[in-house]
Parts: sequence; structure tokens; C-alpha cells
Amino acid sequence: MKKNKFILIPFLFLLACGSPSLPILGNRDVFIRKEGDKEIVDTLYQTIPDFQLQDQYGQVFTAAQIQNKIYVADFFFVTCPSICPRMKRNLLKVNEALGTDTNFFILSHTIDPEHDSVSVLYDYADKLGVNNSNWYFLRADRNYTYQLAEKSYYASAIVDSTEPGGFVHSGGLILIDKKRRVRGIYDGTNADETDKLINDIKRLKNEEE
Amino acid sequence: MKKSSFLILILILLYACNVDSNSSSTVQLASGYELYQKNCANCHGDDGSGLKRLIPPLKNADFIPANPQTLKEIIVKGMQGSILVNGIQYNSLMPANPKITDTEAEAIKQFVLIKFNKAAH
Repeated sequence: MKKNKFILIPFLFLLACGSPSLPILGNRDVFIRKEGDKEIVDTLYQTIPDFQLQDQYGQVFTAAQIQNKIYVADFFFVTCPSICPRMKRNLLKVNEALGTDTNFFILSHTIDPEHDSVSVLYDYADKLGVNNSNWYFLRADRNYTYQLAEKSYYASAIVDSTEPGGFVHSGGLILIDKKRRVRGIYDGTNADETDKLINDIKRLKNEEE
Repeated sequence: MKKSSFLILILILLYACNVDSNSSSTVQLASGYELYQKNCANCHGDDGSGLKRLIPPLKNADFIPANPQTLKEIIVKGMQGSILVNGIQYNSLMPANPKITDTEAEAIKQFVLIKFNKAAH
């Protein structure tokens, strides 16, 4: 009987706590500040810095537009003959599950801005049927986007003429919270990982900030 | 007696040939499936459904049974320009796959025809 009670305690604890929060990824700094006599330990998490890009409508798109929003970021290029169509197929699932939520965005960054002009991106989004939604297709100077990918989103993008399409890039779907912190990276070519992402976005929305 | 033995022998041989041809087409389909997954599924989808108005479907696609003679060439050489499939105009570039052999292209073609378009064996 005593044993049973001990087994029940962790279960009750889990019920009381609900499901655990998603992890916060990236570097962090810890610093101590004083409030009167008390020393308070604060953690400073790595966040996505301010950015300025151009969207498929030819408008400037800045970080201010996703302030206090949850969003998923990815890196792709329109003529990609390898993983991008699979990633877009999975992102369509995410968009269908959450696209009507005005507090949720998808930001797809092209790594081939020389080819992927505003009109090419508009046409691409149009054919996917996602124009006039919260799914933005973004471009900037190539180095700017590559820095953003590597330094902020833990994604990679490399020019490689031996690869199909001329680029190597990671297929991650990166989940960002309202405070611009990375909360998860999911394999955008995998349907199960995409389902997990959809579930985690819903968890994040319910998470108390 | 001799006549009937001869007839039985002929029947056995015919049956054996039939079994052999069935198993070779099964092998070709399995090979076609693997080759499709490796070379085509990223764009056209595991189930051949394509991708919205960007990439045409191969499953239940009117273009496929209407143009069986050009499929192998498209698989190897790719395609440029617009194509009408099930009433929708597509114009994305399909890259060439020069490493695919004639036998492999035939296996992919048979897989697409039979599994996605219910073409007769």
C-alpha cells in the first residue's frame, strides 16, 4: 500500500504541472541584480535580432511585424529540386492547421535572392495558394540572409555548384516564441516532425509568458 | 499417351513462362518504386499528388496515360515550358536526371503508369 502511494506521487505531480514547457534553445547569459537586500538571478536568452527584409509584395518586412507573435522560419529557394518542395508541402500542413490565427506567422527566407525576385516570390506564393495570409516569402542581400540563418536560426546555407540547384541548405523548420527565442527545430522534410511542430505551436500558445 | 504427355509439358512450360513474366514485372515495379522515391518523390510527393499549382501531379493525371511514349524522355531530360495537367497549367522547370539509365526510366514509367494511373499490366 505504501509503495502504491509513492507511485501515485509522481503522477499527481505531473498532473499538477501539466505538460512541461518547450525548451529555450541557444546561448544564454546569467546575471545577478540587487533588489534591496535581495540578490536576484536573471537569465538573458539569445533572441532573433531586429531585421529588415523585403516580402513577396515588395514591401519592407521588419521584426516589428512579428513582435509578440509566434512564428516558424525556414530557408529555401524557388528552383530547389531537392528538399524544398517537401518542406513546403509540410509547411502547408502547418499553415492549414494554424493559418487563420492572426498571431501566428510563417517566414520563408530565400537563399537565392538573385533569382528569387519579388515577382518570382509572389508567383511562387500564389501557386501555393498562400498569398494574403500570414505566410511571408522574404528576401534580402545574400550575405545578410546567410548571416541571419547561421547566427540566429541555427540554419545553414552554402553555395555549392556541385549540388542540385547550386545550394546546400538545412531543412529545419524553426519555431520562435513571442519573445523571439528559438523554442524548437524540426525536420521540415519529415511528416511526423511536422505534426510535432503543429502540436508544439499549440503548446506554446497556451504557455504562460 | 505420348500425345497427352506432350500437351502437359507444353502447359507446364506456358505456366512457368507466365509465372516468370509476373515475377519480373513485380520486380520492375519494386525497382520503380525505389527509383521514384529517390528521384521523383521530393517534388511530386510520395503519393504522386504534386504540389498545388507549382508541381503537377502524376497520380490520376490525364497527361500520363495520354503521353506514355514521352514519359521516359521527360524523366531523363527534364522539362521546360508549360504543361497542361487536369486542366491546370504548370510552368515550373523540371530538372534533367542524366544519371538515370534507360532501364531505370522504364521502371519509373511503369510504376507511375500502373500504381498512380491504374494502367493495365
